[in-house]
Amino acid sequence: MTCDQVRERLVSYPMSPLSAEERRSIDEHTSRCADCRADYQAASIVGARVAGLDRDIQPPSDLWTGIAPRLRAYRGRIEQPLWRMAAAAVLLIAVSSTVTWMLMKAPAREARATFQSLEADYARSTLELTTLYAATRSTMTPATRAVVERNLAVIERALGEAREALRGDPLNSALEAIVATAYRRKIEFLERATTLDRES
Amino acid sequence: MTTWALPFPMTLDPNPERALPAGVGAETIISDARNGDDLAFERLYRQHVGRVYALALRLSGDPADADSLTQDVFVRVWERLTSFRGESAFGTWLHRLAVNVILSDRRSAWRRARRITPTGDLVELDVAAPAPQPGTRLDLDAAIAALPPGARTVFVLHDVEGYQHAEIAELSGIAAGTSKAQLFRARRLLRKALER
Repeated sequence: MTCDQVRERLVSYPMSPLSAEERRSIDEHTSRCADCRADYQAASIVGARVAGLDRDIQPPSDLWTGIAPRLRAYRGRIEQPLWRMAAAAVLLIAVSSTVTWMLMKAPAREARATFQSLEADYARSTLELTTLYAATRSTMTPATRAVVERNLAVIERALGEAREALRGDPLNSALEAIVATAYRRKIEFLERATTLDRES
Repeated sequence: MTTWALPFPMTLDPNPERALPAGVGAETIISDARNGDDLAFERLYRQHVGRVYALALRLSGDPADADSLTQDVFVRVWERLTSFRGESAFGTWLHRLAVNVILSDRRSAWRRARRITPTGDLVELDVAAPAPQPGTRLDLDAAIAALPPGARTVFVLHDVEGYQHAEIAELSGIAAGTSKAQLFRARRLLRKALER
C-alpha cells in the first residue's frame, strides 16, 4: 500500500473495521512509515474513545423558556402582515389621494393642517412597522440584517432631510410631497423587511 | 488521583421519549406541531433537545454558545416545519437543519473573530489548548472543545456524527480534501491531548 492508499482507508477506520488483508497491508506499511503509523495509532486510540461518547446531553437549564417567546413572535409576524399589508395599502391610497386633493384645492394654511394630520398617520404606521421589524430581526441572518438596516438608514436619512427642509419652509407643497414620498418608501420597505425571512 | 473536570455539566437523559403521552405517535405530534400547536412542538423539543445540545456543544466548544445555538435551532425548526415532507426521518431532517444553523453561526463568529485578531488556525491551537494538570487524563469532550475550529467541525461531523467528507464539504464550504486533512490533524491533536 502507498501512503495515499493507507490514509484513504484510515479515513473511515475504526468505524469501518479493517479486513485481515487490509490489516496486514497497513501493518506492513506503517512498520516503515512513521507518518502513516502516527495516523493509524491516532485513529485507533481516538476512535475507541469516540465510541463511548454520549450522543444525547441534556442542557444544564431548561432552554424552552427562551424558545417559547420567540415562537410567539414568529407566529405574530406570520399572521400580522396580511392585515397589515391591507391596512398599509388602504392608508397609502387614502393619503396619496388626499394629498393630491389638498395640494390642488385647499387654501395653504388649511392644507398644512391636513398634511400634519396625515404625517402623524404616516409616523404612527412606520412606528408600528418598526416595532414589528424589531421582533423580526433576530431571526434574520447577520448579512441580511446588515443589508436591511443599511437601506433603512438611507431611507431614514432622506426622510429626516425632507422633514428638516419642510420645517424651514412649512408652506412649500413640493416639500410636503417629498416628505410623503419618503414616508411611503419607508412603509413599503418595512413591509418587505418583515416578510423577508418567510420568503427565504 | 485528580480527575479532569468537565468544562460543562453532562447528564444523560435516561428516557428521551418521556415527553410523549401514551397513545400519541410521533407522526401525530409532528403534524400537530406543523399546524402551529405549541404543546406538540414542545414535546418535539423535549424529545430531541439532548441530541441537538450535544451537537451544538461539541461544534461550538462552549456551553454558553451551545445554549443559544440550541435555541436558535429550535426556532428555525419551528419556522421550517412546514417544509418537512416526511421523506426522511424527522430526527435526520432536524439534525441536518441543526448542523446548518450551527455552522452558519460559527462561520459568522469566526469572521467576527478574525476581524478582531487576525490569527490563523494553527496559532489558535496554542491559545485554545487547555493546560493539563500533572497526572490527569483529559476527557475526550474537553479535548474536542480545545481543538481549532476547523479541525473540531470536521472531527465532530465525521467521527462523532457519521457524516461523509463530501457532505461536510457541502455543509461547511470547504473542499473534501481539506476535510480529510482536518480529520487527520484533529485525530493527532486529540491523541496527543489524551495521552498527556
